[in-house]
Amino acid sequence: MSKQTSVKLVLLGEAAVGKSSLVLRFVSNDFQENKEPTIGAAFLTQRCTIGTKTIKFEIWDTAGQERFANLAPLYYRNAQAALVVYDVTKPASFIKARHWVKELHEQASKNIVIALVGNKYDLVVDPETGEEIEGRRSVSVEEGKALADEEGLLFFETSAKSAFNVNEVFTAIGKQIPEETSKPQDEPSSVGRIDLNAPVDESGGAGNCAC
Amino acid sequence: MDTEVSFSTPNLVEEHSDALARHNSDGGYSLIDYYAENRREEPFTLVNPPHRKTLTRTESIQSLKKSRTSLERVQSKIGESIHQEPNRLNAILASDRDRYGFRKSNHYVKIEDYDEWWTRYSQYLSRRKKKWEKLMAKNGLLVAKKGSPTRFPARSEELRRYVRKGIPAEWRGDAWFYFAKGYDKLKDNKGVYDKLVDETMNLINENTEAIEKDLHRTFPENVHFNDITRNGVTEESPLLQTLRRVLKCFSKYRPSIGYCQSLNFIAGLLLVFLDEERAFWMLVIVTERYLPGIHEFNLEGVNVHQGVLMLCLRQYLPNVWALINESSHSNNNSFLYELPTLSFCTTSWFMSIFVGVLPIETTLRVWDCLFYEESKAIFQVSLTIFKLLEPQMLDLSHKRSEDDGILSAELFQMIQNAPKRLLDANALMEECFRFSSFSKLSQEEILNCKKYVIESRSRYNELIKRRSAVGMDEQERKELMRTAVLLENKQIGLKSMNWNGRLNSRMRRIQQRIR
Repeated sequence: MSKQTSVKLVLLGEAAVGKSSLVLRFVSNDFQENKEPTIGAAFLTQRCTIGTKTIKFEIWDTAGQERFANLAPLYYRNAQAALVVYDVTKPASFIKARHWVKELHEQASKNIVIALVGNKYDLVVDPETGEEIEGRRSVSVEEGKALADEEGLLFFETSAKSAFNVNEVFTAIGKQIPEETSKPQDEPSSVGRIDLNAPVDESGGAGNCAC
Repeated sequence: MDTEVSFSTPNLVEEHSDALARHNSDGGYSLIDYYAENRREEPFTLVNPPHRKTLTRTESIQSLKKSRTSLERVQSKIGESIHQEPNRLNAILASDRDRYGFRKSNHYVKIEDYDEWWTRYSQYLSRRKKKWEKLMAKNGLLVAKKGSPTRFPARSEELRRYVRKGIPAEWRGDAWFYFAKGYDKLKDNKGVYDKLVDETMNLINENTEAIEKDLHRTFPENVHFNDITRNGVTEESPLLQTLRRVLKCFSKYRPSIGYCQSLNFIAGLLLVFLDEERAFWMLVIVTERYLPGIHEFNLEGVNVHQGVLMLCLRQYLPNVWALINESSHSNNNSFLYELPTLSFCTTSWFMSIFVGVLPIETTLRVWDCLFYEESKAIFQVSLTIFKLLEPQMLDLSHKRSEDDGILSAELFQMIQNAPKRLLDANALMEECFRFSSFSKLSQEEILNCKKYVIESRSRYNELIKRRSAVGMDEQERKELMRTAVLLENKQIGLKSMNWNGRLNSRMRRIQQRIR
């Protein structure tokens, strides 16, 4: 019998960057073109086994439009993990991601594990060769990495469409969750910020498409 | 990276919506629409202007004409498919689409279940149509065989009963517009819509950007909302072209709302039943009369409506309330400021008026009642959903383990997913308006509750503002709030604040700081 821990995870990011699609890929291994906008929030769960640890992700997927940000504190209250998502082809969504990271560091629980996720990686690569096509992306891997290093975040580039790196994001988060914080608690944990040297950091934008 | 990783398949909570618990309790709240229009404009900077072609005036008029002709074609096609002749009703059985063009089956409803239900429901629809025709004739309102009435009988108990049992789909648009007093709106605003179309033709701003993002994400499961590809050329769906115009005009007409996600669903569904101009005015009426404040920038209206729903739950479904309420102080109303977590699940019930929450035929039945009976219908239907789920919710709570998280996760899933399976609109409506303790809930009561919630929340927000002014910490804020709530409820007098000397002196110091 492995230990099971529940992890409350929240997804934040600008409208139409693919938050719901990432969740749909992770939970149902499915993809839907033109996925309907999420109104308010959607709740999903998924179990994930990492080594001997079983993690049950309780996922709050939120609406992206600016005005819904007023409801966001309710969602990330007590969250142990967050995915801050942007679209690698939309610079404005990266600016928004920066804001979310700042807000989480100021408002969310201290030992929250945050992953910065640049989604829609499929739009910048040639599906045949897996090579990046010049001029397609608007946010470079370096920019993403720099923000992640600066703020102590996990960093991935993903494609919900091709499934590239999606499970990896959740696995990396699962590994970072200290077991003693599996239940929401108010007092700051001794664990503090996450380990920047974790090997999972390497995977962003490497081009080894999983599909 | 060599650790083994595996993922389980989605785990959906099973439910049995036929198990209905009926229990009666009575009582009431009281309510005056209190709606201060909240014109808060947000600063706007346009990032990424899209490379859309700016049209000349002649081009604009031509493209508008073309788009309107195509829209008429699509609408008459939908009109034909919803015209309830027995052979057409049966034709649905042979198709994978319903009569509005939506996919019949999805993750929650199997096609066999849809067909089984539709076989019964289509017969019911034919019977109801005949009754409506008789009712119209009795009131001297003649309806052409394939036409739709533009006038309906005067309001009466009888008419309300008919509406609750469902308006014939082919009359729906006209009936909604008539009941919502749309013709008055049209009369008072002659030419306004056309002018708006003209003004917004080449408009690009934050709202139109957001509209573009959502346009193709509106009803992708409906064939009429999909782009058409002919001979390798893709043409945008006429319904989507119209939806774009309606939403752009609305964002200009109501700058305090602009574009809010969920309006795409409301306007989109209206366009299935109404022509462009009437759909626009109906959207205006929905946001100013039926759901005031809900789509404004700060979404405070959503919180207010949620607060009213929580008051209703506490009153009418105490067992459900006991599971939802997170506040340890059962006799105060702090849940009005810090809404229970469950309210995340019910946000879309208000914002998109059940579109995407209930199956489409069921949603339309709710809209019938809403436009005839005002916003109380939304609360009654919400309560009914909880009432239908009550047995399962209680079941879950019996399984409550030491880990509280498990209960809430399953509860959320149930409340989010179970309504998507409520195909049987008749059962839902009967429960709502015949058997339940809240069947007599009045609009006045809802409006009084709303006023109360608005006042309570603004008092609380005032407190929060002062907190940030004096730099109170979380613990102090909570204590201050609890005290304020107790005072407000007149459960303790000012003198009995001595029960907590420490807090008392702390409060005094804070008050001094405020001064």
